[in-house]
Amino acid sequence: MRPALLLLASTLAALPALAAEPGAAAPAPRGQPPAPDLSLDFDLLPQASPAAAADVARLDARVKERRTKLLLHQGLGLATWAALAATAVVGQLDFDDRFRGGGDTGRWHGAHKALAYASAGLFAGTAALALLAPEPYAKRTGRLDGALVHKIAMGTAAAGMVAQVALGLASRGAAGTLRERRLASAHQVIGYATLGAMTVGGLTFVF
Amino acid sequence: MESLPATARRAVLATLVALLASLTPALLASLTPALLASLTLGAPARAEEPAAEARDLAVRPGSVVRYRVVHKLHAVEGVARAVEGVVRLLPGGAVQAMVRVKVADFDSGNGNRDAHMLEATEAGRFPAVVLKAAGALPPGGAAGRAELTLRGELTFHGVTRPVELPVVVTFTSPGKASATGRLTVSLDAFGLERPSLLFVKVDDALEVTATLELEGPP
Repeated sequence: MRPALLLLASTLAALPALAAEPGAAAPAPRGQPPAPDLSLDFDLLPQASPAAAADVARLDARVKERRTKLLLHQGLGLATWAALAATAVVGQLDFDDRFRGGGDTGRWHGAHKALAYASAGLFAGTAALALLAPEPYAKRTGRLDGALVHKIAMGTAAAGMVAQVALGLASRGAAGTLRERRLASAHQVIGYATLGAMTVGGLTFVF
Repeated sequence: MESLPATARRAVLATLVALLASLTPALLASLTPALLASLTLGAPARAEEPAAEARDLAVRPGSVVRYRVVHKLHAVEGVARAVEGVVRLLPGGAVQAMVRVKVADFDSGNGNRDAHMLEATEAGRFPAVVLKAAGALPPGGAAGRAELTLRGELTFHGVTRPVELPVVVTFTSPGKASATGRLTVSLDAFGLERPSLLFVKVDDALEVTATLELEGPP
């Protein structure tokens, strides 16, 4: 009789442990190992501390400002490239008209001048948007990546833009002298180089 | 008991029988392996049986998590080498995994693009991507190569979504393993405003690949 009592006592003692826990695996059929517990009620990593609400609000405002400015920067950048390409084409026509037997009619000069001022203005506006855009998140710097190549290319284009405006004005100021053609040629070369630098700067985002 | 009168003995026996009969079949079924297990206590465990105690394997340096998004102009891949995580091997073959990567740790090779990604994912508010999942190793799976499917949830951009992740685990020793898994998620499903370039947004599908080096007590 004692073994029977012992069995009863051990059974009753085991009852709480046998009660199913919430989320625990269902009892396995007889003769099979218990099914693994696949619940997600666990935390294996310490909780990360949440960001302060004020910091997040300030960050959001800066991100919004940056996105607006950089979106405009991209749109104006494309417009600047198109305007500069048109300036180069019309400038070539103007050069040919004046120095390459075109008859020096001056028919392209007004368009070239207007396009040159437009592209210079667009370039300055586009650059200002990028330079004035806040940087809410720290960037990785100090390595040659697409962003740095873009900046180098656009810095080169900016220098070219200033030089070609100055050379264009100087060339026109020297009209009728022997210096005019040399200045116009330098203006032309720098114009193409500026367009090339802008093209490289834009393509860095494609690759 | 011997000193009890016969009627009292019969009453005790009847109570015992009634108690045993009241136990549900399921309880008895649960009880049987427990009893069997208690009978085999002390016997050496077979090599392929899961560990008797939970074992934690920490994600070690050398682990990488990559993402890949596709834009009409190009595909972009970002790599994070600072991966935090723990994989717990439970008795019975269950596996629990929790992996966390800071969004800021992804490097796509372009500082501007990474900053844009931080803006799109609102990294200031939601700084990390967290995967929490569970699965079961196949029998004898805690050694050699094992394939399993983890089911769980991915928290990204403050949104938690259920995910299913096929994983290949290779145990090089009892306390050392490497695991590889791949997952494709929808950026829209996680409430992200997809980043754009030249007014064209990246595709909705974000492919995530994780290669984790795991190490714990042998």
